Amino acid sequence: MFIHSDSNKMKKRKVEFRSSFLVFIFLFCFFTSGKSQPFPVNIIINVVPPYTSKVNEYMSQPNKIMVTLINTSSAPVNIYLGGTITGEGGIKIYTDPSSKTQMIRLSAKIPYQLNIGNIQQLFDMNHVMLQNINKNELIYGNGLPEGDYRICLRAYDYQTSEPVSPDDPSGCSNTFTVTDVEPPVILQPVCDQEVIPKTPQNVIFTWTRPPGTPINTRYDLKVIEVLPSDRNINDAIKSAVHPVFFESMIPVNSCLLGPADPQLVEGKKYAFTVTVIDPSNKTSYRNKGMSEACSFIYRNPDFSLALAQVKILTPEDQAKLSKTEPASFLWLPPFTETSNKEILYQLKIVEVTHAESKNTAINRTEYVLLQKGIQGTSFTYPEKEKPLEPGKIYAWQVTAFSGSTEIGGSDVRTFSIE
Amino acid sequence: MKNSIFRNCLAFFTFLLFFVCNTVQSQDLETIAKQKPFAIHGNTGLNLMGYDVSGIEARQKPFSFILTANATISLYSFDLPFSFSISDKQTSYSQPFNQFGMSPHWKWITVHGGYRNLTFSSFTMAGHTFLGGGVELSPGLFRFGFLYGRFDRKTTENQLYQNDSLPGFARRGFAVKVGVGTENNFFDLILLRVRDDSTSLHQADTSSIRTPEQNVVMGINGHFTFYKKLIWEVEAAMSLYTTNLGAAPLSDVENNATLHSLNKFLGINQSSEYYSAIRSSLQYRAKLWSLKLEYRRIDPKYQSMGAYFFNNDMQNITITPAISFWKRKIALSGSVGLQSDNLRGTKLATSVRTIGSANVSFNPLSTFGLDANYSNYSISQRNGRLPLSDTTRVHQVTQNISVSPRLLFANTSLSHMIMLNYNYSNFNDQNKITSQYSAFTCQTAQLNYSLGLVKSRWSLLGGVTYSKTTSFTSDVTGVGGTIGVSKNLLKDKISLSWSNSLLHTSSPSPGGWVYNSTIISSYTINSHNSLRFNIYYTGNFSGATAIAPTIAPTYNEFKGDLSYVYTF
Repeated sequence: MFIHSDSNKMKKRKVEFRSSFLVFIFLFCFFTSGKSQPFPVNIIINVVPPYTSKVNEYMSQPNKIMVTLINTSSAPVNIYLGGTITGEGGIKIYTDPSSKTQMIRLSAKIPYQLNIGNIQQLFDMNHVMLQNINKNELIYGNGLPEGDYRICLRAYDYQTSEPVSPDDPSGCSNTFTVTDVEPPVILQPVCDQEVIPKTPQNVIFTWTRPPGTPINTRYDLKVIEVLPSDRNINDAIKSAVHPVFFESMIPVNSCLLGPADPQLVEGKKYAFTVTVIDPSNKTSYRNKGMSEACSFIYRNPDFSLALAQVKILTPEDQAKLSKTEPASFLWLPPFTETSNKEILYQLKIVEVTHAESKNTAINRTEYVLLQKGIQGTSFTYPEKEKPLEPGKIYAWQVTAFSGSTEIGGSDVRTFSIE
Repeated sequence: MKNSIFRNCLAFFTFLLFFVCNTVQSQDLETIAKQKPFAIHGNTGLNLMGYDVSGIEARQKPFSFILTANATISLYSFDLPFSFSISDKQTSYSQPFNQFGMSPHWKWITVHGGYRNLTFSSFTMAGHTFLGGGVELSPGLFRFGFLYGRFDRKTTENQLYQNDSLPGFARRGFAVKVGVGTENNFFDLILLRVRDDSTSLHQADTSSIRTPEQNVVMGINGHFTFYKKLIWEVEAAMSLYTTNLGAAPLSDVENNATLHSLNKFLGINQSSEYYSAIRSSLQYRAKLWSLKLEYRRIDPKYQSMGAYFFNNDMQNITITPAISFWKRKIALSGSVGLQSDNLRGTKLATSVRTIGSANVSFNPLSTFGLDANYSNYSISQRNGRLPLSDTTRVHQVTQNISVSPRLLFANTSLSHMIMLNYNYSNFNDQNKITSQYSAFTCQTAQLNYSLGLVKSRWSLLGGVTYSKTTSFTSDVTGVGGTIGVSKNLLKDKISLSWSNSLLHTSSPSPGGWVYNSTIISSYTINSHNSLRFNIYYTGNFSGATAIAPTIAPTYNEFKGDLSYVYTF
């Protein structure tokens, strides 16, 4: 992050330096080349990246379009300006030639920097003329289509409306490329799913490389722990405190969270985003390059069919139990029990009549015993309960719960009392 | 500002108190007599986290805590759920860490107060957190929802992490929903208006230029169920987004008296844009299979201040089938989607995507099971508003395959489980110019064996692991192993486990070792109280030489996590 912030500042400084340098070169040429130019006014324009498609952004941000006017004559001149934005595909947006913009008085030899108000007036959407693009698309729609553009300005004498600055290519900006690139799309881990813990830790993050990104693009992967886990993940990302759980700036669209990286904790929820960064700062990304916030829970899935089953150990199916000893039941926890969640069990015993199967019987609402909240994986039939009767057949089943959620059950077995 | 929020809160709670008193009074006294007058259930937890590291810069704070609560107070038939979280992680970001909120409800009335997230539809008010109040009513077939609050608070520039906290205005707004129907069959009309408070942020607070914005969204949301198995959903919205409330007005609007008066609400000017979005799906659910067909079209730049994010400029058709057979021992599911962008024809190239995934769960025996899934995400381009050249044309395929077979045997004294996890991820860039900078492949395989001693409640774990990652920046191979032991005591009230893994990595040259050790312990004191204490250690032992000592520094990192939960 430091690197990125610093590089942004460096880029801004570079742009400012480049502009200053251009102005200096221009002034140098002007003062050493004599006074024989046919147009007394010269115009220098520089457009600062990133180059977005929204015309209003160029007009509302000071220093987005930097324009310097220099009156090279020895007398002051009163001028007004006309501007043109030209783009690929014959797109042209220009100031209505029938209306004059505000008068600007240029003192001799003194550079004049256009302010934001001057620029807004040049491309006021109520007065601009358009070619190969309509007003609806430009203002209410998506703005400038993607492609290469230039902005040119020309000065006119305020009294005679005669041009007083040279025509294109003089008075034109650098060619800049308007882009509208989507942010990365998260591919893995799949949003809102569970990631199975592995030892040693090994989680792969993958996202798309957005079409239109330059080759030297970098990605900022940020992973945070969501506390508490029911918190809105977007809020969690917005309010994450540094240092965040894991952050990495990488040149490829994948990242492996390995054993040397911070350890994910089983049972916890994590949110992550990927922000695409163009080191040259020229590409305009939607949502400032930040992907959708995604989250995953780092734990074994609770509903895997086989492993979520409670495995009964004793008694065997159709076992004949002794009347003298209390019936004892033993089972294995579901193999999803790798986190620290408390699992409670329910044991249900029903009497099987001759006319029904054990599976039908176990679903009946009448029962001999329904013991809930068993903490361990064994249970002995309580002496205080009604004794199990010899000669009768009983069906029984164990169900596992995590909180109020059923996470697995055993098969149905029967036993009888001798 | 603080006074204003305080006044709003006071007014809200006064209203709530009034509402509670009135609703309780209006209940049938005979019913009240039979009801439990007061009950509270829920849980509260305290989590303390400690951290220490030597050899590298700290990746966490040395100490942090979080106190949370989720509970419901029941007063007769009136439920008052509330929640809060408090932590030392409080910051000046647009949404604070410390939040509180409650949503009491009684019969068909629900009132919201505090920090809440409500969703009226996915294109309008779609879960954005706000601080304020709201009400939802559903008497009979009538459906009504209203909320008002602060969607973002003012943020100033974060000098240290500029990307994290861009300066922003305080943002407030409301959303209203009016509809008819029931939970399974309804049709709603939704209106949202949110705008920045332009007086909340001053230029002195920030070095960059921020302009106050406004958003008005109108939408519909319908859900219809036919014969309990066929579900049709439809959503559509139109969003009017103004990015600079101070921009010059539009003469078309100013010169029209009706539009001019309407514009006091809409705020249209030269920085305004409009977008639309639509989604419709048809789903059929049978006992053993289901099929869903969905169409989605979202304009470029579509956004709503009531939502956090939209993947926009996309038109998408998705088919999602799922089926299970052989007594649910085999379950298949997947999806295939076709997607394209450049909906308004403004992009240089049109990207076409094919997004597919397939999942198999195969459990023929109680001793054997297998899960496998495959996903494919491919992007290719065709000409947009200008011809494309082969040097810039994008053609990428991202694939992921994972397979996890397992064996499970158990008897009265021993249990055995063998599990294999294999994962393959590949990014294939078919553009010859960019592929040398973007190709990426990662393979990992882990084989684990676990032995359980059933009666004594011991279990032992051993495993081996292999990983290979190839990209243009590095080529890393990792080989290692894992051993662990766990024991349950006091009828499983106490659980202890200790696992260790050692991994040798080949890069950066000459390679190094990573050792992880984890101790996890928990104690369920009774049905109300439980404790958990975990310790994590990571040791990175680099083979770096004096020539390049900083490539992979040697470090030791400890993390502790103590939590207590009280359930009531």
